[in-house]
Amino acid sequence: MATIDPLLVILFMANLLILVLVILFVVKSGCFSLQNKIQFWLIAGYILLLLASPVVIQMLPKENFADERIKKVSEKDLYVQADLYTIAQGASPEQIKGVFVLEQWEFPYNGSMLNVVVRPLYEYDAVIVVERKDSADGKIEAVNYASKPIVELIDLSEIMKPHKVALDGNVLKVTAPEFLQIELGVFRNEFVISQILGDTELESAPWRHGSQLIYLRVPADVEVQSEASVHFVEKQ
Amino acid sequence: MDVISCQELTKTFGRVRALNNITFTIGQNRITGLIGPNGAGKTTLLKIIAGFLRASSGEVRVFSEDPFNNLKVAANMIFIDDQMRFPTSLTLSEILASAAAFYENWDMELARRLFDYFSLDPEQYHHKLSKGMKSTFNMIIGLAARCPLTIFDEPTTGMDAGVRKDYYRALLRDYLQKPRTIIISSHLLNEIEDILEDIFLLSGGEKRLQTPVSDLKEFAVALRGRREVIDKLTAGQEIYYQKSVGKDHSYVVIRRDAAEGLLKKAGRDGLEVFPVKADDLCVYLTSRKRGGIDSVFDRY
Amino acid sequence: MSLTDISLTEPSLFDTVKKQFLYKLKGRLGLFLAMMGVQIMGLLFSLSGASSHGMGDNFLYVSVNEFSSDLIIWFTFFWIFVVAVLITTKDYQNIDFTFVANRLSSHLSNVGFLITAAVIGGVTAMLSGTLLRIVIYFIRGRYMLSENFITAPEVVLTGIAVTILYLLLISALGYFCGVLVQLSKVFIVILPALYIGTVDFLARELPVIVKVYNFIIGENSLALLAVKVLITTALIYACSCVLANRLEVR
Repeated sequence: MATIDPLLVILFMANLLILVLVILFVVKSGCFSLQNKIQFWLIAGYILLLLASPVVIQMLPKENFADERIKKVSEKDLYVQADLYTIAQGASPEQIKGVFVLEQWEFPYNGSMLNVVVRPLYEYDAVIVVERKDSADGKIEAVNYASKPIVELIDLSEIMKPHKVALDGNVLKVTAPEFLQIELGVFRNEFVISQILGDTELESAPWRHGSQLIYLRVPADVEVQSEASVHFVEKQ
Repeated sequence: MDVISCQELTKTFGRVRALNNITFTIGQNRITGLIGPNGAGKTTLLKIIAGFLRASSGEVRVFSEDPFNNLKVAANMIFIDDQMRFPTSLTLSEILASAAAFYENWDMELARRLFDYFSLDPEQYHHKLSKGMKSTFNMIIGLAARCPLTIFDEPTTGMDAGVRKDYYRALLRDYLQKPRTIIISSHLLNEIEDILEDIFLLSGGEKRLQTPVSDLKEFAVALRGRREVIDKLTAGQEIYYQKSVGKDHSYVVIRRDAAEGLLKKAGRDGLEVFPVKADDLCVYLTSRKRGGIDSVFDRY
Repeated sequence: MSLTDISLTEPSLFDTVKKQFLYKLKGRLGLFLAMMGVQIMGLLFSLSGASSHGMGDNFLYVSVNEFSSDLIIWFTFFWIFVVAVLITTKDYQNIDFTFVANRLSSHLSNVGFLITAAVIGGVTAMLSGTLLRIVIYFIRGRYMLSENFITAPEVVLTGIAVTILYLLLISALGYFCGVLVQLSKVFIVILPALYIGTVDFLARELPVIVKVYNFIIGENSLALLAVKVLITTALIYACSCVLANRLEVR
């Protein structure tokens, strides 16, 4: 037995107290003056409602479930480690499994200096990789790469929000994506079931963080400078 | 056949002796009044007969069986008092229907007619009735159950005088139609005297008297005369009641047969002889002190 | 004997028990209303989820909230315990002995009532879990996972069976406690002390108590659990009947 948290004990006791009060209230008070017939139909109605619920639950549209609606990955895919940082070290994004393009942009650019700023400043460490193209084609290409966040074998990449990238004069502003919070719900089998049939392991599959990276391809004649840390890679 | 017989029945609650060494029998199809002041042990005796309580010592037989925890006795007996409880969710008519299922001889027709007569609402709830109405309803159950042994413990608590009269009348009529053994307890005799056949006097946990009511009226006489004469005459006799009259006169109640013997011997010089009313005699027989409440104040 | 004499009836125990059982079922509907209240309360408390764990990075925080109807089942356990104690009290006993009864018929009809209560309680407690799933589906449908959501009929039936077994055992214990209190008011103090002591010993893993605990809660076979619980329950009820057989009533 693990040691019991006193707070839990107090909460439990409070619950029990409420429960006793409810039972005594129902037994001793007004409800008892309810006509026998009314009591009977109340209880019969409740039991009928409960008996109907296994039928009703079968009729609920299943496509609404998160794991039906959203793509599921196989357990094997989990172990394809997509490490975006290898890109910063020079690996080609296309060659890394599990990495995908979340968003891309193209800006015509004729200047010779490009200042990359990251917003919000100080709060956000964007990973920015810059590759100089062979030619001076007057175009800045920006790609938002990402790796999949996987929870309970659900591929949450669909709901990932990309960065915002905008060019204003000679300033390329990279804004962090809005922060997403998702609460999934899952049922655990009742303890009376798991005593006989065993526990269904909820956390059997490990969860994977998703990550993002901005990959900039700039014309050969553009100098890039930034107050944020920018990784420069050579085209392979 | 005796319906009830008790041999040296004693019941104690802790140190308190509620019933002390009681021996009696009650025959079939008699109406017996169990009379005694509050705390005399009437309820205890009735509950032992009903099988609710266990005798501490002695032997109790009801329908020739030990009533305690006895299903046969329970099925042939009904115990009516003002402590009767019914499920609070049942209406009066539902309670009647339930009672009908339990008692083989149940007379629903009678129950309905009594219901109408006493204008009880069948859709009412028992716990919402007034005290008198509760007693009336309980009485209807007691009558309609038509049990071979019917016990009423202080059945008229809270009833109006009119309803009480109707109740005793109904009891008598029903008894004449379907004779059975009935015991009614009360602390007063006067109201039920007319319907009783037998009387059982209980006081302080002891049996005082068990006799047909007609004999009770003849049981004792009262003598009045000068105090010295009375005192001399009744010395050594059992005196049920005594009080002073005027300055030097005395009033005593003694057994009729004893009085007759004494009067024969001493003559009637200056003595007056009165009959004693049955209910007065009951009070005398069961009161704690011989002189009654007056004795408390007669200090000099 | 005159012709109009009332003849003595010879009641059978079974008949009396049956009549009392039906009378009690009818008169104690309010107790099932209390069960309804307790289960609905358990359902409401369960809406917020039992536990939650989450994971986050720079862009995304995902948490998984676990729902379960365990609380409803616990509440139902508690309900039947209170009911079992309640029906041993003077008030309820008095109602029994208003009409034809002896101690045995009163106990047997009470046991019959509690068995019925356990069956109704078991079925409704487990099905409340299904109702909870439906309610949660509508409250937060888009982010529910389908795992354990629709349980196979045989799984639900297993749950119902186990719940009923627990309810039977708990009702027998409650009834036994009630009978002890009727025998002597000292038990009002002794029983809670014993309970707290047991929990305390359980926390300290005292072998004897842990063995008793594992005997029921550690049993993984439904058939064995049923045998164990039914025998234990029958023994406890038998003890209650024997102990209370000499009790005075009304």
